[in-house]
Amino acid sequence: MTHRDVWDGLVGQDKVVSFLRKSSTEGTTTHAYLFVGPPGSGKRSAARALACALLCEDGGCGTCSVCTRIKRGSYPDVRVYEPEGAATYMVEQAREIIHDTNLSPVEGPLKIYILDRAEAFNPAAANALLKTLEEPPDDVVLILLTISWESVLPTIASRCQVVRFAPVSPSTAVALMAERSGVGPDDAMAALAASGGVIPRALDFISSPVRRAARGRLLGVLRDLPVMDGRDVLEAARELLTSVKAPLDEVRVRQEAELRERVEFLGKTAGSLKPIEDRHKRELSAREREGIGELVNVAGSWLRDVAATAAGAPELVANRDAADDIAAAASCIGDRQLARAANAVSEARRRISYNVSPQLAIEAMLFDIQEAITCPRSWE
Amino acid sequence: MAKVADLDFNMETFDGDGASADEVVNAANTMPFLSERRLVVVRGVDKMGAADQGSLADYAKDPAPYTALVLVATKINRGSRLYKAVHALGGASEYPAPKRGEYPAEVTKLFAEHGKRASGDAARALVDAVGRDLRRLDSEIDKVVAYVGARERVDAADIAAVVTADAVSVFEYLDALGARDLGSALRLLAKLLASGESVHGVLAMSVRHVRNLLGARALMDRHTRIDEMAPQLGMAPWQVRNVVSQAGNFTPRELSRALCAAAATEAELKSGAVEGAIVLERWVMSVTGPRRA
Ligand SMILES: [Zn+2]
Repeated sequence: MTHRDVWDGLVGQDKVVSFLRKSSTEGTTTHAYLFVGPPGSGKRSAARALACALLCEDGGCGTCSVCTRIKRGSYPDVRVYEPEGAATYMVEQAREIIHDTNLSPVEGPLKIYILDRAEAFNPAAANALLKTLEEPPDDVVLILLTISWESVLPTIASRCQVVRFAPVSPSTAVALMAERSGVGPDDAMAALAASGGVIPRALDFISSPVRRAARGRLLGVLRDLPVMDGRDVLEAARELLTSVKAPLDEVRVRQEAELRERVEFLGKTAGSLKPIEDRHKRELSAREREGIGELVNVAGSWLRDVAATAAGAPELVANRDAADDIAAAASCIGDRQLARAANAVSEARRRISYNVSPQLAIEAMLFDIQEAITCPRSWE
Repeated sequence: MAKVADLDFNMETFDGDGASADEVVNAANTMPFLSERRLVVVRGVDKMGAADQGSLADYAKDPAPYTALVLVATKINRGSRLYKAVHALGGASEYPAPKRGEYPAEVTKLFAEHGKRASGDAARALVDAVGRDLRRLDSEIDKVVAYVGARERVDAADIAAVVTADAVSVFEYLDALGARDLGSALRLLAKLLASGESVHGVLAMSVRHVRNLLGARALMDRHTRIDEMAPQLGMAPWQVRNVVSQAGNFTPRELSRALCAAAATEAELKSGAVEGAIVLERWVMSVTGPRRA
């Protein structure tokens, strides 16, 4: 590759990259895309890269102010949405998006909408959106993301150009992590397990001591669960929640700096700061949910490691630093108990997607895992 | 106090809900009128914001010598500046709430202070109707006293005539839940919801209560002495007695399952598919449900 650009970040998606790069340089992009691929395959990064390619004066250099702001999520004409309702897009939210597409861009020539979890459009919300998907205003590009094409309503899928992403193998992901941040394979595997296999999040995780500490604490809790009483479990959950909130302070500091910068730079002409403040609020709550999601991922990967070890495949263990505890657990927890515990983890994930209070969701997950893996004799 | 001050002129009362610290401090710094001393009372000082509490703490460092400032709180953080400032002056005293069975006697006493003789039935009827919120009991007693006029004796019929039994305190419901008394819990829950409490609010309070029960149950199983539990649970001693006696009604596993079921209930409420009250009732039934042998 002769020069680096915004597409370089996408690994293992050569076909997707060459297709999108070509259509953006040749001006043959369409108005509605559906990116389909498993978690961690780079759909979000690709959507941002396409936005850069379409909005940057150099076709996506990756370094100019436009590209940096798009990647950071602070460019006004690139909007990212996810379902606001309990696990689905509500009709009101679809209407809000449609209304927004009819406004002029703030800064650039185009407005780009990235709609995450396109499978979460219920028929009513999808109906509201159909006309916009079919004939969006000329200056609008919609990029819908989903993990499975089958789960997206056909009325939506049929109106989009479908782009399929290949799964990225764990070894590719580990190699990429090593190249980007110099981490060893063990740390990379642990970070990928905590972040659900999503490479940019895993890199973020590696660079946050607080988040790594929360993972360590949870691994200790999982090891000790069989001998903890109710008070211990509640206290552990409280501590874990506190450690999830800690990194939010870093985000807040950056947000305040951004606001200050804007006011200093534009003075009175800065106009209303409300859109920025709203975006900051959304970012904070997304970050918090991400942190809770990390806890759930860690618990899930620990149980999977125990199952793999019990099944005689310890080489699959992702949390290598806890391998001894995992082996000890594997020697006394049965298959059915593990299946029940794994179920508790998926329940927690589902509850969090329904906006159940994070503390309660984590407490319930820990108690459910405890009940599943504890010998019935010792606790009744 | 009544001996040294003419209270009609020299007493002022504030409600922490609406009053500012400035008003209180002004009142405290006002010279008494035709008297040696003034009395300034702030009810519900715990409802004041931290800044206002801070101003009162500042005042307490250099109080007006002629004023007695009485701060009343149902709950105050011992680490707060205000508590420390008052404590340093030797003025912090606690009046623990009466035990459940003691309420009717307490009510009879309060009536006696108004020169009324309340029958046992009347006292019980009032507690049943109003619950165990001392401040509400006090204000209902005022109403009853006004209603009977010059008559000295107060009967259950007077209570029935004056006091509306509709309002329920959420704590009554939580106590019924902890007592595994399904009938009362459902009845009180229905009243709470009818009085405008939200399903989510009641569930949140219930979850807090279950957490308290879990904590108390664990301390019991660790053989912690009851007088050592209060600081560990962050509760007043009388609350601990209440929570401990309820925690004894459950096994640890029943309590942790109640918490897990609450998480499932919250998810169901937030998915909005089923009417909230029904979902919450189902949870209450699962918590109070048949004891496991
Ligand atoms: Zn650029």
